[in-house]
Amino acid sequence: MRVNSAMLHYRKVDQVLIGLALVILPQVQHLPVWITALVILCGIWRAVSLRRGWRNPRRWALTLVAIVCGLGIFLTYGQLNSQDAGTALLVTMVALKLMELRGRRDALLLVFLGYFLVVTNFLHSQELPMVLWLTPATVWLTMVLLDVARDDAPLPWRYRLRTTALLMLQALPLMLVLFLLFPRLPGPLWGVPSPDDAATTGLSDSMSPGSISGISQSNEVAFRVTFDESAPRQQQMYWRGPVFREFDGQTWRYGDEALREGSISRQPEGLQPLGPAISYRVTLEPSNQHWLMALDMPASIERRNVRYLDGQALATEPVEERERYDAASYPAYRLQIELPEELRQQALHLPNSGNARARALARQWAEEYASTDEVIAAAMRLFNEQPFYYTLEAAVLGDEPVDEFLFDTREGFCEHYASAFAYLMRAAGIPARIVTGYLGTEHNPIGNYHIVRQSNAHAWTEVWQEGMGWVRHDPTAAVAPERIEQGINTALDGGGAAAGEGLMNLRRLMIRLELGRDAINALWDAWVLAYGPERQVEVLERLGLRDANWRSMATTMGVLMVVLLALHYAWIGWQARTLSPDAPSRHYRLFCRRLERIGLTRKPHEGPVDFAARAAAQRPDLAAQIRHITDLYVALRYAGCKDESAALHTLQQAVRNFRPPRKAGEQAHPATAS
Amino acid sequence: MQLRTWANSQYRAWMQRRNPPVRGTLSLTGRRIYILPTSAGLVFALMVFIILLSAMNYSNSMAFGVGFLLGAMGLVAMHHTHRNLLGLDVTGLGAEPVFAGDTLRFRVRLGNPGRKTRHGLELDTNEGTRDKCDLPAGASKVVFLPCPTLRRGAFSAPRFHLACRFPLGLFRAWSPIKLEMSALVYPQPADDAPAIPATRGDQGHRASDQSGGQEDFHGLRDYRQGDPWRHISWQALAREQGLTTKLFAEPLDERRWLDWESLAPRSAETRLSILCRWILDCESRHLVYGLRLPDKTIAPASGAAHRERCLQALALFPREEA
Repeated sequence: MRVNSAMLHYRKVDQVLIGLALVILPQVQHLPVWITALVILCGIWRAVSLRRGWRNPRRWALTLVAIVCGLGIFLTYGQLNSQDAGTALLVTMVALKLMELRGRRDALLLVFLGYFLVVTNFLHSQELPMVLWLTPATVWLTMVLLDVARDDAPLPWRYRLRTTALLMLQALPLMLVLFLLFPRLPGPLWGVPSPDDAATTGLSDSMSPGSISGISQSNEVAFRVTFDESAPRQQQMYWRGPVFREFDGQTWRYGDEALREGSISRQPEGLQPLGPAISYRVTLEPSNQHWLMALDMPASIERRNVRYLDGQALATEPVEERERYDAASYPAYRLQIELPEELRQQALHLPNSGNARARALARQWAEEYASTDEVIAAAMRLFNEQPFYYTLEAAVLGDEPVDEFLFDTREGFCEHYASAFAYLMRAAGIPARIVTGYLGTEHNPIGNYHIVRQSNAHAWTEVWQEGMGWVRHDPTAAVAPERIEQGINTALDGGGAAAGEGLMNLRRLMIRLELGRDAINALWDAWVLAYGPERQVEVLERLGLRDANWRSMATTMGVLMVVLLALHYAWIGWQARTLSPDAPSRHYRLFCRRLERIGLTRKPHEGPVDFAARAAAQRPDLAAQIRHITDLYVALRYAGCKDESAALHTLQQAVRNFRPPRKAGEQAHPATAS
Repeated sequence: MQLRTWANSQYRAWMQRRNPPVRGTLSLTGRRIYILPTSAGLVFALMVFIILLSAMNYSNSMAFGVGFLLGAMGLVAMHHTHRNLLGLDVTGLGAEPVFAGDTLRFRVRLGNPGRKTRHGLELDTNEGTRDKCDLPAGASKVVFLPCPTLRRGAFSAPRFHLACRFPLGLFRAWSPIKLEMSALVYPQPADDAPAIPATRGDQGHRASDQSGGQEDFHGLRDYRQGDPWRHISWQALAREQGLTTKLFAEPLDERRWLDWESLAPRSAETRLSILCRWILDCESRHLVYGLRLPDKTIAPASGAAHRERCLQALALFPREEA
């Protein structure tokens, strides 16, 4: 069987295949291998079968395959309504549709599915590389649509590209109006299925030092900060995260659930500033956690629904999208000078047994030293003077992690030190707790903001001291002060001076490039991706729309759309009425129109010469002019002139001066026949 | 059902009032062009809607962007579709006559006086037949409007649609057009017609031959193949002047009359069919024939023009009121 007439031209089908490949490719990583294999096979089969004239598979066979694929997806994801499962279903649909592709309708549907796949890509990533990849893909899909929509032979690609570009450019102003003014609603319309792969974050809601041998050094951005004035020094930038009150001998946790709920407050409790506040703006990446990152000690965060627990700012709902908020913090403060007895008991609690050596050491200090300060100093001395090492590749610890770390392995990272320190304090009868968060930033001079990455994650301790409240003590500083002062990379590669000069330069260049990329990304994030309900009001205010609510936005949008569409239509219509650049015909047309006005209408098939003869016979007074113009036109149009531009000019002049009166004998304008 | 028929007829009447038949060249103005989304356009709109819904749900700016871009592109494309017809010149050029049962092909010239190529222009008739073409700037093209015919008579070109779906196929713009042009449909030639009537020379004049050759002898010429034996000059042959043919002042009456009355008592349409078959047969055999209809007589002659004249007379023969 050869390709029948209803079948789409194979070149058009090839274009559809390329378009689909462009939009499926970026999400292959989110698809099970078998679906990727299926869609590739179907694509190849389609391309080959069209050329060879193979038959499409039977409908019942396709139905069977569809059912099997649906089951397979359900088994892979355990559900069908998650984002990734949805994408997998969509791709499977594309694969199966390819198998039964026949005519224009099928191809149109495939192109539409292609547009959908563009969107599913954006649900995974909206960063610039994805945008740069998908923009040409969308252009390509539209070029394909242009060809698939017509039954005739394919149009030349250059023409299609131009038409597509034209359509998109003309659509752009409308799109901008819609993007800016379409009222954005806060929150999801229906339950957003939680992402299949939870965001990797350096922080978690519990801490078990020694349970894993290392932490991932993810370079992913946790949040970005812009300080209103000068930034504090690196060693002061403790970004406060979860605070752990409870320790069971292995793991630090938030604490008793009921108590936690009870102690959540709307304002930071018991905070006394000791100096000026620092204000800054945070752009937080989604973490799917409640935590709002702020500098120690957060005083206010401008955002709806903020709660505070142990000095940590919390959102009432998990942060599922990138968000921006203004915050103010006091770097110098007193926190909770009065410690309620309940909290005090919690901050002193330790399991009844285990980690005996550490407990004994702490008791010894408690007896030896009179003041809390001395005990703290003793602990710091221990870390500083004994051979403790700072490393991310720490040994796995057993049932008594504190003892093993303090007396045997003596190597670890912030978690180990903070945990051991807090344990020692509690054993010595001093209230203590673990604070996790991030330490330090990376300054980006290109965008003048600071980047905090997941690798900046840190843990330290807070000790409650009489008259001072909770005081921050960072035992890691006693072991690896450079970790605190310069950042984790310096702490790890110990200076890195061994690298050659050229290599250093290259590295510096790479860092600069990376910072430039991040600055562009940050702008993109701030102005395009974070364009939500709040941002919209803010931007519209800057554009002059005061107190924007959904009603005023919708009205403005409607008016602007109508105006833009009307302008576009006027432009388009004007283009349609513009005559072709065939100048002689244009002039001749005008000539005929003037004759029509005096009742001499050229018949559809009357040639110019015949018409001239008839017209001249009816109006002898105009005969000379009519013949002159007709001769010029015929010469230009059919004979070819020696000096075309001069002849054209003559024709133009002659027609311009041709103003026939309605009745013979009236004064006519003289024809200038030069 | 009745309501629907009524609505349909009202709509058609309204369309006819709005778009009266046009003589000569019709230039398509915006008033004459209608536009509606195609089924593909509706699917496209649904898709944009779903994209925007998911964009809202996931608060995904780029999904909003794609949704708005596609939506805006759809609107822009609507203007382009409309523009694709705007300003076109449509001229009816008539059609060659055909026999009933054949398909008339009205020629319609589409002219594009504009500066832009017009793509995918379609001529749609009720029969669903389509002729498609692209029209470059300044060009004109003749397309065909096929009309199947059933009965003889004057056939006026039906209302048709000049339509297009360019560029994205999301909208279909069309202009209902009724051009004032008509063509003739000849009767269908009968398959089983009686033999062509003989000439008077074959029948009636045999008697006059016997009664003494009243035709005026005019002269002799060399025998040509096909001359009747009766006209061979036997005297000349006897005088050994070779085979010669006698010429008469009035040529022998070889005229055949294709006579309506001779076909009684058949029905009018059957008679016309038979007459039509006779005309075609006479013409193909280069015979001289005349046509005698109740209201019209066409003197005997032959040739293409004569044939057309006769067939025309048959086509326009008044139809019997049922």
